[in-house]
Amino acid sequence: MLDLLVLLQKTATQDITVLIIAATAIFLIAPVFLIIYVGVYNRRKKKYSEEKQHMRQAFESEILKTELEIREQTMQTIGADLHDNIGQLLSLIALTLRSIELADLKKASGRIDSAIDLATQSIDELRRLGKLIQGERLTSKGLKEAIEQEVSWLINSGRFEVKFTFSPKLMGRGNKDTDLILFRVFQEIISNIIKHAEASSIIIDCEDKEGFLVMLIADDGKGFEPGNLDNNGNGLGIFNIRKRVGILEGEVTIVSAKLRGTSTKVCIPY
Amino acid sequence: MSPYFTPSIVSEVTCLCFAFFYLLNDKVKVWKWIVMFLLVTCLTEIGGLYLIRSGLTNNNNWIYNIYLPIEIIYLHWMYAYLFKEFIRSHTNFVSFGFFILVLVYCIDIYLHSFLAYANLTFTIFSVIIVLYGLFYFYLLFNAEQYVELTFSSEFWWVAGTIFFYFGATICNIFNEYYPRSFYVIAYYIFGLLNVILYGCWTYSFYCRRRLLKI
Repeated sequence: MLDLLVLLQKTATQDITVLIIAATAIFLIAPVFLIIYVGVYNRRKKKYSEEKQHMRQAFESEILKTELEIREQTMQTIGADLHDNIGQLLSLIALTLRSIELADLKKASGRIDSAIDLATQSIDELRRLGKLIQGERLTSKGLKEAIEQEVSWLINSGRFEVKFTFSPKLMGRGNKDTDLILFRVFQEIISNIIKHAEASSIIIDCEDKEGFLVMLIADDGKGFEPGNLDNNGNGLGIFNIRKRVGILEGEVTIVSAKLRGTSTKVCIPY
Repeated sequence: MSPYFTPSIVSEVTCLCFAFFYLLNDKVKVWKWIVMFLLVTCLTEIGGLYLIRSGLTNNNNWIYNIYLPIEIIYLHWMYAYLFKEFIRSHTNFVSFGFFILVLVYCIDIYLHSFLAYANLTFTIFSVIIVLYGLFYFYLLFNAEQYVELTFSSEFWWVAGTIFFYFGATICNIFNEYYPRSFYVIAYYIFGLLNVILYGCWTYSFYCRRRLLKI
């Protein structure tokens, strides 16, 4: 009987020993898996962090490119304005002044007045150009001001009737970089209208829709067949528009038909 | 072979030597003071073994009961330092655990006398340290910045503590119920846990030194 009790006790001790070793082994394996998991997760985080860094660099490079393009566009506009408007006005002033005959004071007085009017017009044009030169810094004042400046230039060109609306809810919401890219997108759409649309009226509407900015630019120009675009919907500078809106995590919808104008809708988180 | 060459003592002394070499000039106090903490750990381990082997006494629990508060204080100090990087209320967070342990330690000593090992305190301490470690990993998960874990001294220090205190949980539980039959197996388990702990810590000190050199 005593032998049996000793044997039972020995077996129980052995069982406990095995149990302790097994349980401790499990308690040691668990942290191993935990550490492996932390390591794997951390490697993914590294990959994500590298991708984020890459995207940030791409974004910064796009901002730089956009700034350069806005500057270039401004310079082109100034060049064209100097040649077409101010240059003509100054030539007219010179011509008027040359034609003055001091002997005929009455006639001379009329021509001097006319030269003064032309000089005043030139000053006004120069002031407008001065504002346009500031245009490349306009987005720092806000998107609305930047678009307003461009609209003012369009109206003064006398080629278009422009209707512009901007929802007050959007005021002061976007950041400088988003505004800059969006403004460049706007410039590219307008540039397409000027170059290709043969439009007489343009509607520009910026409104807020549940945390998104929806910018609609519609013209009454000759439009185009969607078949003129390639399979990705690119062409006519649309590739750049799509790429930039994509950077802002937004979408572009272009609706057009022959002789029925074009409407471009840009929707971005704002 | 000397009776003092146990896996625990060898790993502790080795870790102390590396800590002395790598961290003695560290500008962060908590890292610098780990040298002192390891020195106290080694002295406790050797002293405890000496008391038994020399036959002066058959109870060395009191020496470990003196060491336990030092261990609690140092580990809380280190975790307060580690959490500082992630959370503002790091001191309050760690203080809460610390005061619980002080209370449990006092009760443990009062109930079981100073000559019996404060096993309940060590068990609760192990659980709290494992929770701190898991919380540290959680904070690491959610951190914005990426940390190169292979050479992160903090990560390997925490990994070592999690291995030791999590692995020791079973021993702590069984020590309470089966003290005699369990004694030999506990000796080997704690030997293994010490090798893992001090191995991780030694590597962590190397990473710390490497970081300071860079």
